[in-house]
Amino acid sequence: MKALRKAPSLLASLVTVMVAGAFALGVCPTWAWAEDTPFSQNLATTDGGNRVNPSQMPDSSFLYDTSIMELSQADSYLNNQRVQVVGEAVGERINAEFDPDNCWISLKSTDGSDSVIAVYTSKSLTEAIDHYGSYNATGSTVQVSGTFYLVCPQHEGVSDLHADALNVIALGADRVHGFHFEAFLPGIALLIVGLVLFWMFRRMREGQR
Amino acid sequence: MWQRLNLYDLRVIGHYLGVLVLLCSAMMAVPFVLALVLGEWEPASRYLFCASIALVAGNLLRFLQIEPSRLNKQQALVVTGLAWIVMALFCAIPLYFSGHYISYLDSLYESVSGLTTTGASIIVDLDHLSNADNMFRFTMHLVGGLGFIVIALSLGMFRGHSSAALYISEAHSEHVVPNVVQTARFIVRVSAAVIACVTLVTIIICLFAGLDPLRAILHGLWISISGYTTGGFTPTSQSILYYHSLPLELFMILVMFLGSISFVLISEIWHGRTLVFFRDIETRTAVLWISMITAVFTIAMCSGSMFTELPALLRRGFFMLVSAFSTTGFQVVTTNQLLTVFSSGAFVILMLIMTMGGDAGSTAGGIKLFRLGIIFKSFVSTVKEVLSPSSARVVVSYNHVGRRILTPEVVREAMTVFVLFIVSYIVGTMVGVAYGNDATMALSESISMTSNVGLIVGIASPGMEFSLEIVYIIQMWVGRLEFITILAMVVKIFVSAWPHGKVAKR
Repeated sequence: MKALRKAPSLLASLVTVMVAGAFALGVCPTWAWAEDTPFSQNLATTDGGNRVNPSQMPDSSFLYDTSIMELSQADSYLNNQRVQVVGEAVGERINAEFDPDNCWISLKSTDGSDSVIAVYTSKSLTEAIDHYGSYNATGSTVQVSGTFYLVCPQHEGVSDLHADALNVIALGADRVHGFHFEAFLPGIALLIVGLVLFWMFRRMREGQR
Repeated sequence: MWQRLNLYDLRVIGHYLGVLVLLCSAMMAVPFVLALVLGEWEPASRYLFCASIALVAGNLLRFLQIEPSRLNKQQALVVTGLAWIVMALFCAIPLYFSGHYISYLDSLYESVSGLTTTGASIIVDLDHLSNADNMFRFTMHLVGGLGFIVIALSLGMFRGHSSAALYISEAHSEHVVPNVVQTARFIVRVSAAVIACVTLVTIIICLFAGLDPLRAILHGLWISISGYTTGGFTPTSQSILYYHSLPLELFMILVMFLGSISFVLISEIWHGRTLVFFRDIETRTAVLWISMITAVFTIAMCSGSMFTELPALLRRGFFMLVSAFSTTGFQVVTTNQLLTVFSSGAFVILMLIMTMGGDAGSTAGGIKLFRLGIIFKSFVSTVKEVLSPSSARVVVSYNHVGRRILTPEVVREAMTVFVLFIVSYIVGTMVGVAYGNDATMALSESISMTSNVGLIVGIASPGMEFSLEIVYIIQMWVGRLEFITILAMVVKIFVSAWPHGKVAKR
C-alpha cells in the first residue's frame, strides 16, 4: 500500500528526469554527437564558436578546432587537450632553453581579439614561416595543431601549446612604409615657429636683466 | 587662512609648466631620432610634428612671465600636480596618431600609465608597433620613473630658480645631499649607470634567446628601463614570458628589487655605508613583509590544484610575487592563469603585496614600506604607553639614515597617506563593480592603478567605459604623487575659483 501511494510521486520524478534529459540533449554542443562525416560538412558550431574535427584523429580523442582567444581564456577543461588554432606568427623564433632542436613562436589571433599564445615546436617545423609579424612585416599565417597546456608540466607551469603539426596557410609579406617629404612639412613649419619663439624669449629675458 | 591664487601666481605657474612642456618636446626627440635612423618615416614625421607642437606650446606658456620669481610652496604644488597631467596630454598625441589606440582617451590612459610607471597597457596590436613608438613608451617610463622635476632640475631647466618645494612636491621626501640640484643629478647618474649595466646583460641574454642584434639591443634597453623604473611596459604583448628565458627572469627579479630601493639608501651603499642600509626601517620592514607574504603565498598556491610543482612555483610564483611587490607588473604567467590557475588565496595575497609597494624615495609605487614600518612602530608605541606608568614618557625610535625619534607628525603623515590609498582602492573598486565587473577583479584593478603596479586582469582594456577610464587615470595620477600634492592643488584651485566673499577668512 505504501508503495502504491508513492507511485505517483515516482512517476512525476521519472517524467522530470526525462524532461531534464531531453533539455540537456537539446542544449548540448552538437559537436559532442559528431559522426564520421567529412570535416567540411561537420563543422557544427556552438555559440562559443568551438568546433571539432573528428576525422583527423585515429583514436577516439577530439581535436578542438578552436581560436587563440578561446585558449587565452581557457579554464582547466581545455588543459591537456588536443587543439588546432590559426594565427599570425609574430616577433621572432625564440630558442628553447637547453633544447637546441626546439623553439618558441608567438601566435597572434587573426580575429582581431589581440590574443597571443606561446607555441612550443621543433625548429624544423618553423622553417616554413617566411615572415614574423612586426612593424615592417605581416607574419605568416599558420595553422598549428597540438596539445594545449594550461599549466605545462614540462615548462614550469607556462600556458602553452605543444605543436605536433604546423602548416603555413598564408605567406607573410613586407610592409612598405614609403618616404613622403610632405608628411614632414607641418612638423618642420612648427619647429621653425617654436625655435623663433625660443629665441624671442631669450632676447626678451636678456632685455629685462 | 585659504590663500587664493592671484594672476601673478597663475603666470608663474604657467611659466614653469611651459618649461616642463619643453621637456616633453625633448622626450619626443628621442623616438624621432630613432625613427630617422631606422627609416620609420611615418613615426618620424609624427614625432617631429608633436615635438614641435610641444615646443611652441611650451614657449608660449613661458611668455606668461618672462622672469619669474622663485616658486613658493603653493605654486610648486600646483606646478607639479598639473605638470603630470599636462605632460600626459601632450604625450598622448603621438600615441593616438599611431593608430594603435581606439580613442584619444585610451592614448591618454596609456601616457598616464607610462609616465606614472604603472605600466598597465591598453594598446591594440602591440606586436606590430613601430620601434619609435615603443621607444617613446619607455622614454615616458624613464622620465616619469625618475620624476619630471628631477630630470628638469638635473638638466638645469629651471635656471637658478630651482626650488626644494618643487622637488618635495613630486613625492621625493628626502635629499641625498643637501643641495636639491645635486640630489637630482645623483639620482639621474645612479639610474643611468644601473640602466647601462642592466641593458648590457639583458642584450646578451636576448642575443642568446635568438633575437637579432638590433632587436636585442632595443629590447634589452627597454626591458632594463622598465624593470629599473618599476614600470611594467614591455615591447611584446606577452611581457617577460615572451623570452622564455630563466636567466632573464632571475636577472629581472634582481633589477626589480633594485628599483624598489630608496635612492637615499642606494646613496649610503654607494658611499660604502652598507650597515646603514641593513639597519634601516625600510629594509627591515621589507624583509619581514616579504618573508611573511612569501610563506602565505606559497601555502595559498599549493592549495590550488594545478600550480603545485616546485619548479613551477619557484619560477612563476616567486617572479610574480617580486613583480607585484616592486609594483613593476612584469608577467611570466598569462592573465588567464592569474584568474584560473592561481588559487583565490594566492590572488588575494598578490593584491595585498601590491598595496604596500617598495621603499619611499624609490621608483616603486604603493603605500610604501616606510609608512608600513612607521605605522607598526606607532602601534608598538601605543602598546608601550598603555603598559607604562602614567608618569612615564615613552620614546620609540627607528633607523632611517641615522637614528630618529618617532614623532606624532611622522605618524600622522604615514596614517594620512595610508588612509587615502585605502579610500582610493575602495572608490576604484566601487566604480568597477558599478559597471558589472566581478568584485575581486575590480578590487585588483583598482589596487593596480593606485599603486602604479600594472598587473591588470582585463577590466582595463581598449575602449573601456569612459568614466571608469577617467577614474583609473585619476587613480594612477594621485597614486604617483601620493595624494597630498594633488589634494592640495585641487583645494587651491577650488578656493581660487570660488567667488570672492564665499571663502571663509579668519
